[in-house]
Amino acid sequence: MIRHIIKLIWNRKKSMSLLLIEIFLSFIVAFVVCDLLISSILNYTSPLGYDYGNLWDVRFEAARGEPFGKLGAENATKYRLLLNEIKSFPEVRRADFVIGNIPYSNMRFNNTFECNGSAIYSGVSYVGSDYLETMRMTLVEGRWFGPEDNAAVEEPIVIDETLRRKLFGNGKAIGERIQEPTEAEQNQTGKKYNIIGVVGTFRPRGELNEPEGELFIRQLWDDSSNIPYAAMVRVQDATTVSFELNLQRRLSSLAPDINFRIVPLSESRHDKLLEMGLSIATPLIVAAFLLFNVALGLFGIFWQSISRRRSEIGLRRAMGADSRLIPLQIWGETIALGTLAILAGIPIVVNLAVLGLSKPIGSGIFFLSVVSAGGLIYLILTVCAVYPSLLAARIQPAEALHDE
Amino acid sequence: MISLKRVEKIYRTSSVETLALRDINIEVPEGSFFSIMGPSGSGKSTLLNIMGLIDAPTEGEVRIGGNNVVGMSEKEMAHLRNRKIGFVFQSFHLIADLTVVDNVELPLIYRKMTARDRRAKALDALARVGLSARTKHFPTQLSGGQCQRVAVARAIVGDPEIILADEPTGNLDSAMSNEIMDILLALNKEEKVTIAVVTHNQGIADRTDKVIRLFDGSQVA
Repeated sequence: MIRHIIKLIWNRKKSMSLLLIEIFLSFIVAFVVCDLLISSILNYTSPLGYDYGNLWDVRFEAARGEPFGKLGAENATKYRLLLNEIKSFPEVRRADFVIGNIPYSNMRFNNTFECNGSAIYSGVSYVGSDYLETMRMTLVEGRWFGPEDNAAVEEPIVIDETLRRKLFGNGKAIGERIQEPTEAEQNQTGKKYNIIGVVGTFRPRGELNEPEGELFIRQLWDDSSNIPYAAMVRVQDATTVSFELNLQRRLSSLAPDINFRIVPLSESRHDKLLEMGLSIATPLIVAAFLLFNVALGLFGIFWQSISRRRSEIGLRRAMGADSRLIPLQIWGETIALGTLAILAGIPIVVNLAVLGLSKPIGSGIFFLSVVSAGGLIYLILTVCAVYPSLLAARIQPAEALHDE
Repeated sequence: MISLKRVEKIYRTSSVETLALRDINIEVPEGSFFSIMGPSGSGKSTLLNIMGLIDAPTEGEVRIGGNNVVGMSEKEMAHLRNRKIGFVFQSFHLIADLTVVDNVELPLIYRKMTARDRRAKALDALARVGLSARTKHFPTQLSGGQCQRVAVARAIVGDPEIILADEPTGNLDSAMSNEIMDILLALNKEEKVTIAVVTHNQGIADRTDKVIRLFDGSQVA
């Protein structure tokens, strides 16, 4: 029977070409949707690399006008005072400044580095010695910054696991060097860094974003340091919103020239998830609408096809097919048609992966997306074929064969 | 072989009731060749459909090979049709998207049989109707007579005990009609297949052993 169905579909391929194209395009759309959805789910369920609970983002608005400027002696004293003031609150467990990729913010701070002859693009955060514990990041290898780094010849850095995999695979990372790109025009050799530790994958852009790799550079927050963007403040459990008001008041009195914006990170996370969720949901809704329309079209075509094939179905009944076999055959034909379209679509989705428009071929997500997209197409086809198949099962051979 | 007792067939709609067959009593012995004649609307095709188990009588008893088929499940009747009965239709009812040999194989795909055996039996059936050279053709590439020979091959491929032909020569010229009748007669004589033919053509009926005449749903001879 399977051979018979395949033969029938193959012989009807010309008359079914439009239908095949429709299913083929639907498969491509379904693949893109599945790729996006599966990636998003996996991203959402993967560790963030820090604990956003009980963490507050104290943003220094004045620093924005002069990003990455040097603190200088006067400012260094002021900012040290601010940090000490923050730490003096009984609600505060830990706090540290940060420049660069502040979690759940829209700031992007990246740079290109060279390692073993190849260039690598990575997120960069300039942080102090307390940042690891403030953020509750996990140290997986080596150590975090400490006083022993004060006398280091090469500037110490800590990288996250994603960057480590990109740079060294499963190889050793501690003690390896990376450097900033050499400026050929200025005949200046790039600054060298020594990797002293590896932390768990750090994803400052939130749960719905891919890990990109992060590199942490030590700052002492002295005269030569750069102006911090924000202070990350780890507070005690059950800290109320009144803390925000008190902190705001105290910091403003110390530094009236700086505008402080204090937000619990859980709120920033909520806003970010909403924003990212919408950017994911929009194409999903469009694709769902598209697939629904395709399903309606397929349903119409299958229904019409059954009307056209009344005599053939009657003949099959007369030849010995019972009414149970007829819907099975119609379903089998539908599945064979879908398989033909999916097989034609596979090279296209492979190309999407090769061009970097979807997850790479070797990844589990690519395979899962192909399987899910195929499953979705078979499901749509099956649902669309159910009612026409039942109609076909009701065709009486005596009536159908008498038609002509 | 085929026995119909007090068979009645009424077609009912919400407003109309049409009596298609009334008190039909027929005994067809095994290996006989008989024809059913009558004007249009006299119930010939209905009678043939009831004999072929593709329609059910409203009243009466139908026996095929001694088995009363009234009350049989749909699956049992489908099985009986597949094993014991071959059909030939006036408009051939070949599937246009299948080759000649695939069309002939059709009844066998509803049996447990290997593809190789199916193909061998289909080729043998086509050889018996003289169409060995046309196995890979599609029905649209054949003449009307050739199409009907394919339909006959399809009817005989499963070695049925009964062949029911509904105006098998109705769409053919006289030469082709005789060709088809010759094939059916040979099957009847050589393989003892019971054959029933519905026809308007007295010449065709004259070549059969017995003629059943219907008029207005009743058996008149």
